[in-house]
Amino acid sequence: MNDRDTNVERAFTELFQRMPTEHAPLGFRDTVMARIAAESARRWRWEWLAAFAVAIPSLIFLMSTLIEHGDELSDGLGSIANALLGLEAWDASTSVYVDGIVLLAVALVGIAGLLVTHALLAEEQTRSRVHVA
Amino acid sequence: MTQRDFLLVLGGGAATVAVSVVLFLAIVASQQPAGASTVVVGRRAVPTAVPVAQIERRLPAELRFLAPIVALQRGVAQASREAAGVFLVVLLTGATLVFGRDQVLRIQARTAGDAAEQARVFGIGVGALVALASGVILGFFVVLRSLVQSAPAGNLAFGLQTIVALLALVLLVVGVAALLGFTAASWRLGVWVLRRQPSPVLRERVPATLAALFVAAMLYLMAQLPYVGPAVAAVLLAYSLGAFVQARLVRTEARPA
Repeated sequence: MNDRDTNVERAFTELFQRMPTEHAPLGFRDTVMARIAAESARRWRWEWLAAFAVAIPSLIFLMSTLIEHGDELSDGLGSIANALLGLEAWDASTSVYVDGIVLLAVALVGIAGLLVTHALLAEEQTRSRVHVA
Repeated sequence: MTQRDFLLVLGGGAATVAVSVVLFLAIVASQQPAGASTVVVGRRAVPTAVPVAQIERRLPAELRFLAPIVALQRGVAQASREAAGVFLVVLLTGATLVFGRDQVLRIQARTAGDAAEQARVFGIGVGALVALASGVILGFFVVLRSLVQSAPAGNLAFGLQTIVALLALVLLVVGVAALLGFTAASWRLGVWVLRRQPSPVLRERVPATLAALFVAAMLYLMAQLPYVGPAVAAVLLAYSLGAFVQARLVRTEARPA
């Protein structure tokens, strides 16, 4: 900040100090804060959109896979239970294979869940900040 | 609707269509009776992939225009199977950023400093890791010896299972601490990388959390490299634990600026 800025600031300060103080109308603050809260609530949060964009197709896919290949999943879980109980011997030749697209869909659903949680937490923080102010 | 909202909706719609097409082709590829298995666990052979041409033939006539994407879907499936670990790391780091944001920020703030400070944090981590490993080994030996000497023969298996469960508990606690430290380290590294971007658009528009997730994925991939991977993983574990210990367990007075 140079000297000229300081002088201008000082002039403004003096000018404002000469003005008579005037209270804001009753309810003015509450009206402004309510408007800010309404605008914050209306504002789009990108997390919701991104979450729905990836979660809904993934959930439909996972449900379809469960219907079509549910027996394979139950066979796999049964095999794990048998290995735990010692009924089935596992060695290096044992297969553990899950289709990559299923893994991708599960990961997308998880990321969507995190995005929604983040959006809800952020909305709550914004609301409480507005209420505190 | 502002221009930003319009672009968001457009991007969301495009993402939905892209994801839906890939997933639809995966459903077509795995359709019974000739489709490949989706889940195989146990003493069964891993299914061979259905040829791309066969999947293309299964498409309804109205959807034949999707045929060129079948090869892409196959590539995505193979890459996703290889990248399951990266998904897990991104999910865990993201969950830590969402649920433990305050803790991560506190760790990041308390471990800020120059290279000497970072080396000190790393040293704390190495010390903590060595002490922890020694304690676990000694504790295992002492408990095991007392168990063998005192327990009736029938209860030995139960005692061993209890020791394994206790070890798992210790690993869980250490894992949570390391995850918090790792997320804070990824955040710091992400911000550092962003600041060195030549493009001002990237510097200003990319959120620090996204950069942290990217760095976390990169660190995981580095830990998978042959020969140097284990060393990278050990350094990461030590630094992460050191950052947690420095921030959460060590009480220090505020340093003069």
